[in-house]
Amino acid sequence: MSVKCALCGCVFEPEEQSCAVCPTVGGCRVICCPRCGYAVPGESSLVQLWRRIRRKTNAVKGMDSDIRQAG
Amino acid sequence: MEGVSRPRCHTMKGRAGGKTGRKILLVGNPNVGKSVIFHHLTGKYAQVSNYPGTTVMVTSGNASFGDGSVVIDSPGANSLSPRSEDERVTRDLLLKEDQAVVIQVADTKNLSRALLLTAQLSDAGTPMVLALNMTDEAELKGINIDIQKLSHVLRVPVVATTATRGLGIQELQNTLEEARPAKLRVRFSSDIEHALLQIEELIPELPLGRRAVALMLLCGDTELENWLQQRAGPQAVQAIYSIAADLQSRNARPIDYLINRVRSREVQRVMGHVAYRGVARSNYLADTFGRWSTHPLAGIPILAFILLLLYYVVGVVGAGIVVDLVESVLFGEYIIPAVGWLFALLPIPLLQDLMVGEYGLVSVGLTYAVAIILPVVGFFFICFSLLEDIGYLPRLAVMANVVLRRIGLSGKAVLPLILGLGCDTMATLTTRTLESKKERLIATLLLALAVPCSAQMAVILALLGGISGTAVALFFAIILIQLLLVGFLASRILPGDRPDFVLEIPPIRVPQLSNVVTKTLARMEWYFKEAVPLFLAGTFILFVLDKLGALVFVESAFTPVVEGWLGLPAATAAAFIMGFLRRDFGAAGLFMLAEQGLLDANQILVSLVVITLFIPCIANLFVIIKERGLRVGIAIVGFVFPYAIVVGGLLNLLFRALKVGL
Ligand SMILES: Nc1nc2c(ncn2[C@@H]2O[C@H](COP(=O)(O)OP(=O)(O)O)[C@@H](O)[C@H]2O)c(=O)[nH]1
Ligand SMILES: [Mg+2]
Ligand SMILES: [Zn+2]
Ligand SMILES: [Zn+2]
Repeated sequence: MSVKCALCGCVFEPEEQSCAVCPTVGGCRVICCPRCGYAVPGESSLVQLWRRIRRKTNAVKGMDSDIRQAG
Repeated sequence: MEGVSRPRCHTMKGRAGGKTGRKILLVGNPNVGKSVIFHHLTGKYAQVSNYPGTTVMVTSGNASFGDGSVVIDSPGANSLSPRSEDERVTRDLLLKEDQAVVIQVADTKNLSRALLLTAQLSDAGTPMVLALNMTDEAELKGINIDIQKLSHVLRVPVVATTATRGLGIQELQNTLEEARPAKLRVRFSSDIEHALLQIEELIPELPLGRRAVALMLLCGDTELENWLQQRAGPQAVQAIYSIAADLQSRNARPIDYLINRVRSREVQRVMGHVAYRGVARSNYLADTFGRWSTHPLAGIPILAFILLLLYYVVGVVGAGIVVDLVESVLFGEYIIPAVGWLFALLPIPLLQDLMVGEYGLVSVGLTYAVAIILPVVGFFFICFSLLEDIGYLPRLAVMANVVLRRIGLSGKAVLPLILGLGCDTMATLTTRTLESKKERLIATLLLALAVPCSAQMAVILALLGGISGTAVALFFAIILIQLLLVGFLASRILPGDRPDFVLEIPPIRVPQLSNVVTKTLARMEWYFKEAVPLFLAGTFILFVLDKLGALVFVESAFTPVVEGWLGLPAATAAAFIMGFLRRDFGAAGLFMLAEQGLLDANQILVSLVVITLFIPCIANLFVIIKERGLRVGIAIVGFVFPYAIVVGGLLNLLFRALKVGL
């Protein structure tokens, strides 16, 4: 999912830009804009969890409709 | 007979139900965001290939929602009666991928152009959903589309998306199950309709609606000839051409023109039902605000106003909550006594001390992190995410540039200073993008010296909020003066100027709650993961120093400076040491001292100035040494440390001489 830098407007893929030079132990999960260096933290795990739950319920819904169609 | 005569129920099942191998075809006018949506739907890995016999690139990839679907990104097309190679490839894809579900991507700002294509997809009878993309820009232009009505008219799911920000993609994905052929069937004049019927009889069972193919043929699509030869035989092709020629001979204007005219009339009729212009709420206000916020003169009061708001939200509201938490409710009355009681069961006094003593992990480390930092930083991050979402940050950079250029700093060196508001350590890393060595040095120095990071700023606001607005203004004035002064002096050494950094200034827009919430959550989580362990480690170090008696030694060693010169109680030395571990940790220590009534207003200001100008925190120093070398690191500490003490002391003297009491 591409993100747009809030400072310089550059659009980039976050996977490629996680901070690799970080001094914090274990990395800081920060995404740095490749153009201007503006850093935003990666998605909160709460939000990720929420997304996963949504996806799961959607998948269940999808399965339901499959069953209905087959039957 | 209305054209679509293929065995629909059969194919529909294959399409919507069984997922493996399902094809999802992205279709739409050029530059509407198809490719961006494609990337959302597929994730990282995509195959790019030349469409056979053309130079046109077609991208395809596996759907990231993992149901075995394949997503294909078609080149842009304004019509299915091709006039360009791109359009031909799109049409061919529709013919070839006849089991595909189509996502038509539309530019909401230019819906009528998209609906012309929808009309043709409707003739083709392909199951589809419509994505109204670029809703962000449409909103700014005050263009509103009644999505429900449009969905009702077209009888297909319609989803609003802002692909660049990933909005609506999930919903789009969900509605794929409900894809069906659009109903935007246009009735042409009777002679055209008659010709269409005749042609339809001549063409065989087709994956695409016969009517669509008949229309393409009437519009003079010669590319279809080969394809038709194979399926219907040369006689049928001949017959079709003579029908088309006959029709043309009875009309003065070209047939494709006539067909398009009727289509566009129908589209305009639909538009009349679904589109309306909002009052140019289109953010006349936001636009004006946007323009003024970068104006060299008007921008400064706007910045001041924003800082004022920040002060109220963080310094007054946030700090109020902190004081409550610290003084009574959570920690004072419940947690610390509870932990104390728990460890009282253990017969080891040292362990008790470690948890709830003067430098206890719970009584200091956790308390600072949860009771002081959490509320204050939370409020600060809400404000910051809001400013980020409305698009203020680039404007702040522009403003800072205007000011800092006056003192001779180049435009590019300004950016790290702005970034430093987030985290000095991170910003120091970005100084490596600056061109000259001296520029890098100045930016690094200023960052270490005078730019408070966001968490520190939040605690500072909370502390000063307890005093008065004047104190806040005074503090920022002092820091700003240091920044300008040192920047100015340092830049004297730096000749010549550099090209400005070009920023894309986005329009100011109304903030979106969901954005602000997710950004704030991300920031808080990140902050906590980073700060809490360091807070605990810092407390532990202080605890050890204390037990070894080293802390008393350090405090007494610095007493002449701290008490005599800065006019602060000796206990602040511990806060300064904490500040070296993390600046915000130090600020939190000062907050506690103030809460205990050990610091008066003047002393708070002096100590905050010192701790802000003070040597950078360990992480920052580490990066400075790594990026600029050990010598520079030592030099910066060697300069900043005495400098902070001198400025703090002068401030103290000034307060005494003028008998100021804040
Ligand atoms: N503001 C805004 N820009 C968008 C949106 N979707 C795409 N864009 C931009 O529009 C341009 C064209 O997008 P692209 O996906 O290449 O369009 P395509 O030609 O349809 O594939 C790119 O610069 C995108 O960043 C959107 O929802 N809002
Ligand atoms: Mg594209
Ligand atoms: Zn950027
Ligand atoms: Zn990092």
